[in-house]
Amino acid sequence: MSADTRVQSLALLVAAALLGLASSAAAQSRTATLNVTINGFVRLTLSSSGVSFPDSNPDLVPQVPGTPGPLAITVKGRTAADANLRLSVLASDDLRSGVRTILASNITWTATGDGFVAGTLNPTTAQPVGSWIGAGARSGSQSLLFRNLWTHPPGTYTLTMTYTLSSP
Amino acid sequence: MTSRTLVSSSSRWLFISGLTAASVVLSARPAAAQFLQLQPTTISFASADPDTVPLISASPIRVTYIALGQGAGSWTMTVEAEGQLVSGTSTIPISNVSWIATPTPTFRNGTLSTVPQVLATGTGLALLQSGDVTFRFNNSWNYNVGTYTQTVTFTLSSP
Repeated sequence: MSADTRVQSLALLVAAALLGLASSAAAQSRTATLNVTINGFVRLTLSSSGVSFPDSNPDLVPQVPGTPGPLAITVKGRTAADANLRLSVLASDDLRSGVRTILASNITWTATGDGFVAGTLNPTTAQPVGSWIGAGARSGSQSLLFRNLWTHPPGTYTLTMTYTLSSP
Repeated sequence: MTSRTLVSSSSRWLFISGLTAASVVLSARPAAAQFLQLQPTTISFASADPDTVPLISASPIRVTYIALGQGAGSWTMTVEAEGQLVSGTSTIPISNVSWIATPTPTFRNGTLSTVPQVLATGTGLALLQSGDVTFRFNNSWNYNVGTYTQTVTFTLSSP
């Protein structure tokens, strides 16, 4: 037997053995299990990190809109099927300019987008900006307004607004 | 031992005579013979941020098979999901799972469905061949938290 013949014979023996493993049935099936893990996860995106209210005549502009315009808000969250997703905002304090203050409640907002709500800023209790049920990505806007009064003392007033997106 | 072999390149029918160590006799019109093995048998997709990982890939599955079409005819390997991805009362459409497979053209890419989808095709004898199938999952913010499962069935058949 030549070397080539021996190689062919060995190959066929292996083939025969392998075919011995094969079923003569016309079909053979095997199963695999598919697993997908989805963990809880939220993401909040704001279009700007600062809002300014330019000085204006209270008689002409009683409600000063914030610049650079409405705040675009994107809320993304993976929650349990019936769980709430909540977005709130809390002021760090009243508006302060040195020792002078203006109540934070002089800042209000209107909102657009499903689940987003209007409100008034508060330095002690977080105020709702929006709420939703279940997972998803939602977009809306918040237009901040400053109540302009002749009684506000001159100054440059600041506060920090903290937005919190949470899911139980 | 003497052996004589002849392999027809056109039909791939095998004639074997004089083999004393083998019990398999392949006739001129062989019946269908199939062998199918998956390794591993679990396809797992880890949780990931949909913004940064919009398409999650699982580790490849090695599909090893022996296929012999009826009368040297064609054979087909299909893959089918038994339902949607389920976690309690939450579901994710199984169409969010697709696959890429090699080598081509024997193997082809596709999307899972509850009806069989063709994964590979061939004719005649495919002797201990293998392919790699990588399943991919469309990631989204719209999925509720959970561990979703489903059974996927691979079937090798000849008409």
